[in-house]
Order: sequence, then structure tokens, then C-alpha cells
Amino acid sequence: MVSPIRWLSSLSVSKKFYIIICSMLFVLLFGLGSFWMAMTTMSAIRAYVAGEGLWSKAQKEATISLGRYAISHSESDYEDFLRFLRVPLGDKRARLELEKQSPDLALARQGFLDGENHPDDVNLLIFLFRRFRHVSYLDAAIQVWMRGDAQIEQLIRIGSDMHAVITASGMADESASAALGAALVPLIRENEALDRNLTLLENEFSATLGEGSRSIASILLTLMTALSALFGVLVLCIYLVIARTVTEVDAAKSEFVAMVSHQLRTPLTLIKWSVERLRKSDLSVLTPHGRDDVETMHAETKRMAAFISDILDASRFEAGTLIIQPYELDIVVAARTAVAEVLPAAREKGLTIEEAYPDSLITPADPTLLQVIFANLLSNAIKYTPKGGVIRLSLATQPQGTIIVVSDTGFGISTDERSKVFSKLFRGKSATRIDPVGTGLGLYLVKSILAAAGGSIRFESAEGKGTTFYITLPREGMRSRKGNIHLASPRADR
Amino acid sequence: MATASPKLLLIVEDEARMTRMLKEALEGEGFSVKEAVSAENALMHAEQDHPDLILLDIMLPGLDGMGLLKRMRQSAWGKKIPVIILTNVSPDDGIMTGVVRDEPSYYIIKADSSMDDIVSKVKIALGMQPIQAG
Repeated sequence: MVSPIRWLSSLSVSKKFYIIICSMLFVLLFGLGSFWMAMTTMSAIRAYVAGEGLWSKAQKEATISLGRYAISHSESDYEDFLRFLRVPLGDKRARLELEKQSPDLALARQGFLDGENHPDDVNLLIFLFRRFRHVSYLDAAIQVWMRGDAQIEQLIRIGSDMHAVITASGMADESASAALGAALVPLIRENEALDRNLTLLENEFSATLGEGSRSIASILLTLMTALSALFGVLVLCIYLVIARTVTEVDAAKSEFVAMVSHQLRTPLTLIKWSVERLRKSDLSVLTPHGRDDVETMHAETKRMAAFISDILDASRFEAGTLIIQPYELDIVVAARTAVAEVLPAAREKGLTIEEAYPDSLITPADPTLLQVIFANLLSNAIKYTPKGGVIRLSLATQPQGTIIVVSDTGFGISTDERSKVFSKLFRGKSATRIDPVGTGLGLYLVKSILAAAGGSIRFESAEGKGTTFYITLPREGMRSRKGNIHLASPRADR
Repeated sequence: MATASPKLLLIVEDEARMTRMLKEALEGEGFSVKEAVSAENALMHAEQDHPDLILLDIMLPGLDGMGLLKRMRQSAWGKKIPVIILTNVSPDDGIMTGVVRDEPSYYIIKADSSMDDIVSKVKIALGMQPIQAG
């Protein structure tokens, strides 16, 4: 038999996430349902407590009215007695209806309304009665209620007897009055005894309901605690599954990237170096086509090597967090070194590089990332500037930080392509025509590095006149960042 | 400044054709070159010959290049020998830790560099050519 963990591990990432989402939804809905149930139940219990208060008050008033009637013999007191009894009788009608297999809820509702319950509480009273009728505490409370209703029937009988006795007596003389008084005494005593019994029943009803309320609160608390714990465990499991999945995917990706770097670059290195050697040999023995082929091989191997490195850098950059390790360095020295690197290519193309720097400009920066920024901007300027053009690199300190300006007298960027210049893999139409070797990743990497380091980049361009890139490094230098990605080849110059 | 005897370089590389091409290019520049195909083999050569500079691949059979560099830096003879990492592997955390700790002179991705670049870096690392070659 396959264990659940093994089974889960064998599923695809998307299926794992479906299961996670479904489990979360189930627990969430169950939790919400339980919460709704808890709130409704507690509100319903409160409604019964309030209803019991109204019932008791009405019963007391009825008893008092009957007592008063026994003395006053006033019909209005008797009518008060009957009016107060409408409350327990209304509640009784509702109870009897709800006890039926298929109750008429409209009748039950009207009964509770006659019992002077708040209209908003009526549905809660019906809900609790129907859902929890046979739960021990509510069952006990309803038994007490039934006994109370039986006592109310007796009260009605006492009232009815009293009314008959008083109506029958003419009260014509003193002896008749004495006889009436004597006839009423047992009824008055019975009324008082009934009141005492009902008080005991009312207390029992309240105590039972209170006990039930506390018990339900305890059950709900346990349920909510269990649900919270279940939710917590589920979240922990989800976290573990996600962490494990991400780790596996990361490891697979890193392994793939390492394999790609090595397996693609190794034969490419051999081809590239062989072509370099070939170019240094006497090519006059070849036909013009043969010489063209050698140049094509040279250009294409360079292009492929650059493309592989850029793709690997971009992929690693997106998969992880770029490490930025700034330390105090002289950007002037870094700029001079970067210019020295590209000077042969510029000279070969007949371009001039002008440099304008202060004596020194010390600021915290990551030398490797600075090298990537300089190399990309300078090599772009060289690529897209025609023979005889000028490239200018200047550095300055301004209140907002260190400003690096790279300008050229090149072809410029067309208006409709300006918004896409920093997009990944974007290559303008003229860029593709002028330099088919480019990858469209250089400026994307530069902008991403600057964004991570707290800097910024913008440009101005005029078609046929040239482009100027303005880079701002924060006044406090590049922002340090922990991560797991070293972007370019590190160089440890000593 | 040229010395009477040529500088001795050790190429640690398991790809024979690559070693051959590098060796020819470097010998063409007047260096004396020895080869090793594994870290263990390289340690033996290095201890015996004390090369002036080591060109070191990372992915090697058995002990890898960064392991070899670490071991070298722990020994008296290997503390100061300039090392150029010559690899096709992009640096990960483990490699970067080794780079910071064991201070190679350069970390060169072979596919991104020409043989002229490599010869130039060798000369810079040996103090035979100023850094700003332009």
C-alpha cells in the first residue's frame, strides 16, 4: 500500500497545488460554517433567555392581576389577567406547532410573536428548537416549559372559577359578601401556591438553559480550537509541501543550468578557439567564400557564447536574489578599466572614446555589477555608432548621487521602440540590422541591477543623432543585498 | 620584465583538446607549460615543480578545482601562487565562497573569452603586463 506522503510526492506540482487549494477551501468553509453555527446558536440561546424573561414577567403580572381581582372584583383586573396570559399561551402554541413532524412555521412564528418575542429573535427561536430539540439540555428545558404550561392551564382554571364565583354573587348584603370571601379564599391560596411553583419552574428553566448555554459554548470553543489547530497544521503542511517543492524545483533548475553551462559552453569554447586560431592563420589559400565562412563562424560562435551567458545570467537572476556586495571603490578607476576593455573594439571601428572624470569618486559599489553596467552601455554605444563617431563617458557627483553618463553619436532609438528598450530580449529593428549578434538582454540586466541596488537609469535619444544614458547610483552607494545569485564572472584583481 | 628562464604555467584541465590549444598559445608567448588532467595529478605536479601560475578548471574528475585551490592555499608552497580559474561553470554560492577565501587572480568563463584574453590575463597576473592593456 502506498503511503500518503509517497503518493503526494509522486504527484505533479500542479496537482499538489490543486489538493492544497481544495484542502484550504474545505477547512476555510468548514471554519466559516462552524463560526456561523456558533454565533447563531449562542444568539438563539440568548433569545430563549429573553423569551423566558417575558414569559415569567407576564405570568407574574397575570398572578398579581388575579389576586387583585379577588379583592376588587373589578372586571378590568380580570381582563388584565387574561391579557397577560396571552404571552405564555402564544409561546405554548409555537411549542406545540414545532413539536409536530411537519410544523407550520408561520403558526409557530405567530405564536412566538404573540409571546412578545422580538421579531428578529423569532427565527432564532425556531432554529434552536428544530435543530437541538433532542439535545439533553434543551430537551430538559422544554420539559420544564411543558410543566410550566400545565401550571398555566391550572392558573386559567383558577381565574375562570374565580370569575364564575364573583359573577354569580350578587354582593347584595354583608352576609353574601362574607360568603363570597370564603368561596374565594381557597382560589386565592391556590393562585399563590401556583405562583410559587411557577417561580421554581422558571428558575429551573433558566438554570437548565444557562447550563446548556455554557455546555454549548464549551463545545463550540473546543470545536473552534480544534479547527484552528487543524488549520494551523494544514498551513504548516502546505508550507512544508511548498518549501519542498520549491527546493526541488530550484535544485532541478540549478542542476539544469549548470549542465547547460558546461555541456553547451565546452564544445562552443573549442569551436570558438579553433576559429580564432584559424583566423590567425594564412587565409589567402581560401576562396573569398571560404574566408566569409570563417568570419561567419567567428561572429556566430561569439554570438552564441554571449547569448548563452546572457540567458544563464537572466535565468539565474530571475530564479534567485541577486547578491550585491558593495564596498568603497573609486568609480573613476572602474570606468577607466571598463573603457580599456572596449578600446580595441572602438578603435577597430574608428570610434573615439572621450572620458570626463573628476580626480576620484569614491562610493560604495559592487565592482562586478559596476563592470556589467559599464560593459553593456559601452559595448552598445560602440555597436550602434557608425565609423568616425564619438562615445563619451562622464562621471559626476550630484545631490541625488553619482551620475554616470554614456552618450554616443549613433543611430539613436526610434520613437516607437523607446518604451521597450529595457524589456527582456527586446531588439529594435535597426539594432537587429546593425548588429545581428546582440541578445536583447544587456539593458534589461542593467536596469534590473540598478533597480536592485537602489539606482536608476533613463535615456534620451534622437534618431540619427545619438543616444545618452543617464545612470544614477544612490548617494549612499549601491544598496547591499543578501541573496544567492552572482550575476557575472567574478574577477578578483589583485 | 623578461626573465632568463621562462615562467612555468600549470594547466589543470580534463579536456585534452582545450589543453592542447591553450598550451600552444601560451608556449607561443614564451611560457613553459605543464598539464594535469585531475586535481590529484595537479597537486603532485605543483608540489614538485612550484609553477609560477596555475590555470585551473573547476569541473574535474574526483576533487574539483575549488577543492584543489583550497588545499593549495592551506599549504606553504601554494599560498601565494597566482591562480586563474578557467571554467565554463557560472559561479554559485559555494564557488563564490572559495573565490573570496582563496583569491584567484581571475575567474574566466572560457566560452566568453578568446585565447588572446586568457594570455593577456596570465601576463597581468604575473605582473608582465599592466592591467589597462588598452
